Amino acid sequence: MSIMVILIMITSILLHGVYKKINVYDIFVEGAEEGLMTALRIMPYLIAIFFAIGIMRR
Amino acid sequence: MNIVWVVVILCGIFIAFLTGKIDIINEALLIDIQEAVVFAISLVGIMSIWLGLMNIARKSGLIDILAVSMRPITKFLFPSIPPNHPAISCTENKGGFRFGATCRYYYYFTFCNGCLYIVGVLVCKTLERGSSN
Repeated sequence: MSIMVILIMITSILLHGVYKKINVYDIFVEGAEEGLMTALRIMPYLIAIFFAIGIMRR
Repeated sequence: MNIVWVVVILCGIFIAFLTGKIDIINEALLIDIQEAVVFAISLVGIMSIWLGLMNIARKSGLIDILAVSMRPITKFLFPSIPPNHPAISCTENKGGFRFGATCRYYYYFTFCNGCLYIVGVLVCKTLERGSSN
């Protein structure tokens, strides 16, 4: 059941997008680009924290 | 945050100096920074998938439906926020594209996913390290 939740969510989002007649693929790509930008933006913070934690841990 | 970061690094260097393991700092520089970059790159996949799906949901109005159907709960939890505040519903700024300035639900949802992912990965790594020792 708990495995089905994500599948149901993805299916319902996609079907709702198709039902509203929007360009699902283009809008998905647009959002994914934002994900890429976000991951790039948090990368310096991750490097700083991982560096400090790495020195502390070893 | 500045002070915390500097204190953590200086403590590490000081203890490494006391225990005579200076070469470990070099190891940390090489391995941990590489690990951080690999981790950030691996974050791109899950982040893109969820942001893309949420973009579809936002453009098709599914998030508005969700916001309206959640209104009793949000009204109960945050009674001081008016019902058409951008933090509660995102119908006003449908035209905006940017990540931070648009719908708060969308931001909150992806943020929670990211946090869960980070926590999961860290727990997995810790367990892995514990079992290998």
